[in-house]
Order: sequence, then C-alpha cells, then structure tokens
Amino acid sequence: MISAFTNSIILPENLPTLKEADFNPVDRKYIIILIFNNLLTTLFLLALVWGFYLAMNGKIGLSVPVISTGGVLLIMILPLASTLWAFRYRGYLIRERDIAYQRGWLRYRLTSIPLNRIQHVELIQGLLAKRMKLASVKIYTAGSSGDDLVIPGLPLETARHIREFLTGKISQDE
Amino acid sequence: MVAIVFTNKTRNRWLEVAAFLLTGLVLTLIHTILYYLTFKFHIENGQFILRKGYIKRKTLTIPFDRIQNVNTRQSILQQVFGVMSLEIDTAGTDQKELKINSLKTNVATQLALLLGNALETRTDKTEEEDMPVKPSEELLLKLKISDLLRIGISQNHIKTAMLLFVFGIQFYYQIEDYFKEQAQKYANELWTFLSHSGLTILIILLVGFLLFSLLFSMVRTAVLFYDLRFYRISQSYRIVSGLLTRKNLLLPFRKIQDLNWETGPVKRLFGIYKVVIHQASGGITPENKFPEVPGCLINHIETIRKDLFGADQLLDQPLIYSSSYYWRRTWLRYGWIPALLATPLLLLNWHYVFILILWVVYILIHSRLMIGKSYFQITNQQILVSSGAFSHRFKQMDLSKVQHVEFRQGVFIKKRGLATLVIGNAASTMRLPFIDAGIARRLHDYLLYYAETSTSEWI
Repeated sequence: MISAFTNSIILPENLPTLKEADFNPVDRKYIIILIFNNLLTTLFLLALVWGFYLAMNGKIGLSVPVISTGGVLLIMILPLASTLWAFRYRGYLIRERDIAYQRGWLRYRLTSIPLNRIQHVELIQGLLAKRMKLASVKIYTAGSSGDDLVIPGLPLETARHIREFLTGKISQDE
Repeated sequence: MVAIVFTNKTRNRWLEVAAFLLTGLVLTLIHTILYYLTFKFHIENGQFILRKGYIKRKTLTIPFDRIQNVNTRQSILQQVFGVMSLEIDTAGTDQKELKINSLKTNVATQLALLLGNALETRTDKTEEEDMPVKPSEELLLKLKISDLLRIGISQNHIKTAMLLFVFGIQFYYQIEDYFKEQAQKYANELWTFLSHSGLTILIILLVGFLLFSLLFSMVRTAVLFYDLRFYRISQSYRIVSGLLTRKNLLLPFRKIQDLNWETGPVKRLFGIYKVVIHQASGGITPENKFPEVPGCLINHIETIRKDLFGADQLLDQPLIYSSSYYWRRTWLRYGWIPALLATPLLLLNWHYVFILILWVVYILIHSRLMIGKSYFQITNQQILVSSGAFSHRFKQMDLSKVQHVEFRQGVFIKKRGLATLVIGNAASTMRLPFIDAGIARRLHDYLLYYAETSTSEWI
C-alpha cells in the first residue's frame, strides 16, 4: 500500500525539507522558567496535600501526607527530567515562506505555518521572562480552532525581530 | 396619627415608583423610536453601509469581499409579524458582525440574495445595484416527516442516555441541597429497592432511559430539522430548516473549509448519512458555522463532493491505512492501563473483576473497529480522511485550505518508524494517526509547499 502511494502522488522534485540541524535553539535561560513553572506546580500540590492534612485536624495519620508528598515529588520529577532532556530538541526555523517550531522528546512535535496563512503576531512576556529579557512570539491563524503557535524562550531582541519580519510579510501578502 | 402618616408615606412611595417606571418606559420608547428612525443601511460601491445611533452616530462599512456568509432567521413571533432577522458575518481578526433584527420578509430575502450574489461574483464590483434577478435554485434534498423519524431513531441513544444519566445525577445533587432529607430518603428507598430487586429493575430503568432518549432525539430532530430544504444556487448552498425558528443559511462554496459526513450502525441500516459543512470559525454562532444536514443519501454526498471538489479524483487513489500498532497502542492505553490502575478495587469486592474484563474487551472491540476505518486518500489537490469505530466518519478538504501542519512522533512510535500528522484549516483539524514516518514527512513538506504556492483564497 505504501509503495502504491509513492507511485500515485506526484510530488514536485526537490521539495524543500526541514533539516533538524538548521533549527535555531531557544535561549538557554528559558530552562530556568521551565524549572520555575514545575516548581510552582509542585509547591501548589504539596500545599494542597499538607493543607488537607491540617484541615482534617488529626483525623488522618501523618503517614498520608508523607506518602502523598513522596508521590507528588515522584510524579513532578519525571516531567521535569523529560522537559530538561527534551530541551535540546526545542527550536524554531524561519524560512522564506513558513515558520516551524519543534519541541519534545517523549512526545516530539513539529508545527509549521505558512507565512501567507498568518493573521497577526503578538509578543508575550511573563513576569519572570521580563526580568530575564526573554519573550514569546504568538502567531495567530484564521478561525478559532486553537492551533495558534507560540514560540517561547526567545531573547527579547530576537522576538522583536521575528515579530517585525512576520508582520512585514503579512502586509506584503495583502 | 402615626398610621396616617405612614400610609401617606407609602402612597408617596408608590407614586414615586410609578413615576419612575413611567419615565423609564417613556425613555425606552423614545430610545426605541429614535434608534429605529436612525437605523439605516444601503449598498454602495460594493459595500454594505449601516448607520445607526442618534447621540453618537456609528457607521459600519462592510466591503462585500469581507462577508463570509449571510443568514436569515425567523422565530414564531417574527413569522406572525412577517419580519426576519438578517445576519451578516465577516471573518478575520476584526470579528465584525452585523445583525438587523426586523426586516420585512421579502426585503430580507432579497437582500440576502443580493449579498449572496455579490459573494459569488466578487470580481464584478461595478454591477448594477438594483435587486438581482433570482438565480435558479435547485432543490437537492427535502426532509419529509418519515425522514425525520429515521433520523431521530438513528441518533446515538446510548450517548444521550448517558448524558441524561449524568444530568439526572447533577439534578439530584442540586435538589439535595434544597430538600436534603426527602431527597436522601427517596434515594435511600430507591437504592434499597434497586439492590433488592436486582437485574430486572436495572434493565427496566435502562430501557426507560433509552426510550426517553429516543423521544428526546425525536423532538430535537423535529425542532431543528423540520421541513429542511437543501438548495443549490449556482456556486452556493442554501439550507432552510426549523420548526419554531426558520433558519436560512447561505453557504458559498468558496467559503467552505471542509466537508464531513458520517454514518452509524442504525444509520447504515437506513442508508443515511449526516453531513456537516465547516466554515471558518470565529464568527456569530457555531450552529451557523457548522451547519448540519442529516438524512442525506449516498448520492447526495456524491453531488456535494462533486460540487465542492470537482470530479472525484480520489476514486482510484489507494487507501493508506494507519499501522496496526495504532489499535494495539489504543488497546493498551485505554484498555489495559486503566484496568490495571483500577485493580485495587478488587480488594473491596472481587466482583469488579467482571467489569474490568468487560472494559478491556470493549476497548479491544473498539480498537479493532477503529483500525479498519483509520485511513486516508490523497491526490495533489485534496485529501479524504476516514475515522471512527462504531460510526464511520469522513472528512474531505481542498489542500489550499491548509493553514497549519503538525508532525508528531513520540519516542515509542519513532522506534517503529511511524508518525502522526495533524492538518489544520480555519475551521477544524484532521489527524492521520500512526502512518509511515517517511510518508508523514513528505506530506508535511508537500502540504506546506502547496499552501505556500496556492493562489486561491482560503478563507
């Protein structure tokens, strides 16, 4: 069936392909934000566990929150490790006619959007990112099917450049 | 003495309230009249121009080529007065939309036709502005009462029954707060009754829920799709339907993002399909964006496909199936893993083992059915994706509508040389799960290339 497919579809010769080596990595400082986010979630879960224990006022034994803490740490360390390991795969690539962003190792994803399909572009900066002079570029396409692309962890200057480049491309298309 | 003063005061209070209400009423009336008198629209140089407001004049200008679609709607009350609501929807980021509430029926229909015409012949902007000659309409499908009956029966009643059940539980919790004791008592009685009378009662209850669901579906079908008429007017479709509110949707072919049709176990018996047409979302209401035409026969679908995608080039294309790893993964992930996680339940009562086995077997059947329907066909210009398990869903789209492509490859499927490709347009996404990674890559590149070089409009 696969060979039938190869024969049936006439793909133009030398179709440009995305090479993983060409991708630009995001800023290494972005790791700090990722760790911070993970830490925040962990603390929140721990607060829930111990808050529940304190609220029960001695009706449940100490073993419950202790075991839960172990559980929370265990399930929070795994995604953190995976995120850190996968950091090397994070990257974006802007070509003449499209923009691509890849991330993930356990669940690798490569998202591409043709530049002529972009509706508008936004710069987003969280509190922590602002301190570290990082920013995210959010790219909107038409409709609200929720497949807008966000490229986080860019140095502010780069993010501004990308936004300007993309905005320029959009007005060119129109 | 005190009493008199008191009554005087209350009388004054009443007068005050009455005066207040009257002023409000008069002001509202004046506002309405002024609003009505200043609400004017006209058409000029290929633009729809609306002026409204008396304190602050507001002018809305909508160029014809910004209009996504034009719909009319008529509730019972409006039918009595012979008026209609007209909705003009524009897509894009500005989210502009326009609603005119009470237009005389014939004016609204004419206007909708005129704007609809303008949508089709957008290149011809210098066209004369008087009312157009009515283009010939072709009736493609008309639902009779017997069709509605079939559609009602073939709905997914198990799903509806489940929803009703969940709704019932929620309702129970709601009233529990108000009538705590009674509700508790009834619930306890019901529970003892149930646990004593066993399976028979449970079956009766289940059948009851299913019958109720059947009735519910019937009523819903009748209200939404009563006397549905599906027309073709040169390059658009027009759908008129509804019992209490007559809706009239105009769908220009160019604005259609993808075509969906599906059939289910009961629908298959009747040979009917449900067709859903997707337009770019982000406008007025989802029901206008994704109009539904149930009760289509296979020849209707062939007609629509021919209209939207031209002669069926997909016919000779091979079906490219998902890898068999897809069903094994699904079985493991949704069957075995939840079942294993639920094993502690066995400590409570070993009878749960039957439920767990049932679950694993159910997911097995589901996965096996799913893999048989998980395939796609592709040509240079269009793609058709098939999915579903008990039901069978199809989705076809023109490749120029592509606005986003995602290549997904988890570690486990990477080892097997597989990948999942997700293709998005302005209305929805389609998944090609667990296909050969090489094909997925090439498709990714090709779809991008096609969208980037395509000159036809995509929204």
